[in-house]
Amino acid sequence: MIDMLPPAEYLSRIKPFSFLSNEELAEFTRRMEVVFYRAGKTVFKSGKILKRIYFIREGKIGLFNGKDLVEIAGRDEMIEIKSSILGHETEFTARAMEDSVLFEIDSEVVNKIMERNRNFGEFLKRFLSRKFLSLLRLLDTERIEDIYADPVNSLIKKSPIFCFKGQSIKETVRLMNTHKVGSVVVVDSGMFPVGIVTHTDIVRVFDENIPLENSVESIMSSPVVAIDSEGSIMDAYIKFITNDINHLAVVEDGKLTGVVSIKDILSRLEAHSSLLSVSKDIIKSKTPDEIRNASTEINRLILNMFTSGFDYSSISTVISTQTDILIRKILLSSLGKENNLVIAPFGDYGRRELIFPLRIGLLIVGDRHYCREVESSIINTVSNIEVESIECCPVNEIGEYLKNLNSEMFLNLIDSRYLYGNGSFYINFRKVFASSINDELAVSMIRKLARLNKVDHENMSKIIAEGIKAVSLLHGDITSRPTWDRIKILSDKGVIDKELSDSLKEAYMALKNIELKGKLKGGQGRIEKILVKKTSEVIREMQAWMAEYLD
Amino acid sequence: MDGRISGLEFEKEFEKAEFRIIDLETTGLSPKKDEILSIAIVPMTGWRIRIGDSFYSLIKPEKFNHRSIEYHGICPGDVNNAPSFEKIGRKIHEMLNGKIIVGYATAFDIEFLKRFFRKKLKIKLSLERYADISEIEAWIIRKKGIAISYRLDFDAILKTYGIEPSSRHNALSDAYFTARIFQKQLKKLLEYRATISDLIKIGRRLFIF
Repeated sequence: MIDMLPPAEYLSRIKPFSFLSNEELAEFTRRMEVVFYRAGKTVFKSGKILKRIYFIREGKIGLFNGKDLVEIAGRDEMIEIKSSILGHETEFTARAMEDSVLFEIDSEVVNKIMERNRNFGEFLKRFLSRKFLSLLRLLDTERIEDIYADPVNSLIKKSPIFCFKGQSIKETVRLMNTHKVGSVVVVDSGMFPVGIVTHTDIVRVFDENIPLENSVESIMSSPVVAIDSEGSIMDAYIKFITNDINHLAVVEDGKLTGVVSIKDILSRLEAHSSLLSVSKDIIKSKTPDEIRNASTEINRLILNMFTSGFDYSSISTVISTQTDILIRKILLSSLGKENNLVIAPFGDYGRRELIFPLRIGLLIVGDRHYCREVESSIINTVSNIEVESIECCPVNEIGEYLKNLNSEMFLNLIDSRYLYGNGSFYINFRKVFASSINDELAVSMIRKLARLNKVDHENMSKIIAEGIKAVSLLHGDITSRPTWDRIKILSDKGVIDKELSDSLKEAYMALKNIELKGKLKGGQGRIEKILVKKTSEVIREMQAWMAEYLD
Repeated sequence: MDGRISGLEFEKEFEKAEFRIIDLETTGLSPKKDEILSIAIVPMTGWRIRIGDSFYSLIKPEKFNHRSIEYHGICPGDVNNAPSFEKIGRKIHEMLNGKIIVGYATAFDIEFLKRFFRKKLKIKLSLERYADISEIEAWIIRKKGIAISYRLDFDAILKTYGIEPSSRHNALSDAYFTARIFQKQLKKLLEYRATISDLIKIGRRLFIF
């Protein structure tokens, strides 16, 4: 009988209520009131423990901190749900901003159904604990594992087969045969890999009649190409392609911990091989035409990864790597192997946090004329990369150049990293840069962000990124890295407490995911709008924390 | 100042008022010859529609008028196993007696109910205080100084208040939407400083002020 009531029908179309069965919806409706609040009327006061869930069916409800309006919630949103479900005291006073109609559902029945209905319960729990990113995942049915961003050590199945550099070829061959492996890494006494011996090398031993008693050092390929165990599978794949090798040593703090072969990678990536052809195309391209064609593949790759359910962090990592390769190709074809300059991405691109369409910032340390050349060669070769800003720093006046920068640009350069050109120029630049950094820059940035009143969907992710960067700087970290890594480091150091850092990370990733989705598919869904709004809560907490931090 | 104090008093009276929003479906339009096929009652206290306490039941008629199927969509098979009016009469009586009844074309529903209680249960139902949302709407429009040149049918009033009707049509959902309309009309009445007794007069078109 009760399921004939329109509120049940209405809720059944809205997440998370759409997870409910008809019986569960009927239970909700039995414990529901539909209440009209005239404009100006108070729905509840702050400091109360709510016994109902407040769902806005119509109108607008303002949340007030004393006299200050903090947030306006609208149709289909729930307000102060933390109080209703977790029994916390309400943070704000809720008042109708216009005539409003609310569905008020008994918390007890909601709690009961949260325990019974897994999807419904998970949704609300993640919402309450502000696991925004995982909440987006829950909604996304097309999701697959983020294998490209998985660390390469997830591919390692057994301990590495290795020999010491003083051992003989004979011993090495026996080792390969016993363990049925195609390669053996040669290490020194400190377990640092110095070379690798593969089937190809053994064939050469027989062909060239090299005595089997000779040391393995005489036939190994050296240096060995290695990857850090935390590097991504995508990074490993790119190393295979660029170095034209079949085996890769995996190291931790430089010491050998495993070996991966191209076979291991391919078997893992098989299902998504369509995504791989892109980097191959980019790597193999030589002429401007080939580069241009390959570059448009990046757009396809972003869309493919997105529709395959990758998160923003994986997409941006992969896309940044591809963009790096592409830019290097363009520069090689226009400037050749130039040694009088260095090019370093900075800002978002420096942190490997690209968004679609691709906008990049490049720092050029070198003669001024290179700036024009670099910009025009990129613009003339590819159409899908926009050079947002180019910073020119003369090689011999780095100190002068840095002195004249405004503080925002200065902080942006923290995110610079080497991409192309003379490495020693870059090392020199970073040295001068590190010595010109002062804490005051970071302090004033934090102060500015903590006091910022205008927090909206346009600047939220920027507030997190800039704030975290500035705090990292105060803790001596000026390495270019993605914001989520910085948050983790600050949390590990105990600078940010666990709860806030988890919320910030989730909020940041969710914002970026939503931003990317908006750029690729246009518009925002209802849940996304709500998440963006809820993120403003996290930002407020971050602002309070930053203010406190400076004290 | 004086106005604001009495405004608050009106408000208190409204907040405590017990309304029952009703909707009937009948085999025809004549309370003498036709029968009630279903009844829905949605209680409303002040501004709160207590939908959890709603009541809806089909009622088995003595004879079925097939021509009315097209209006209410209830078929003979639906009501074969439904309780008789005698069976649910007491419950209905309990819910409605002495309360303010609100509906659409309410006078007609009241007439049916009074007659059924008298004829079938031999009890008198006190339903003197009732209001019709289309009469209230007509009054509001007159208050605004606009001439009424169109019919105040249910769908038109829903539209006036920006309420989207649901796809399903039955006595219970109609009663619910009547309640949603009535909430918004109450607000207008309050703005015009009408009291509950004014509301009854307005709703029964007994007086114009």
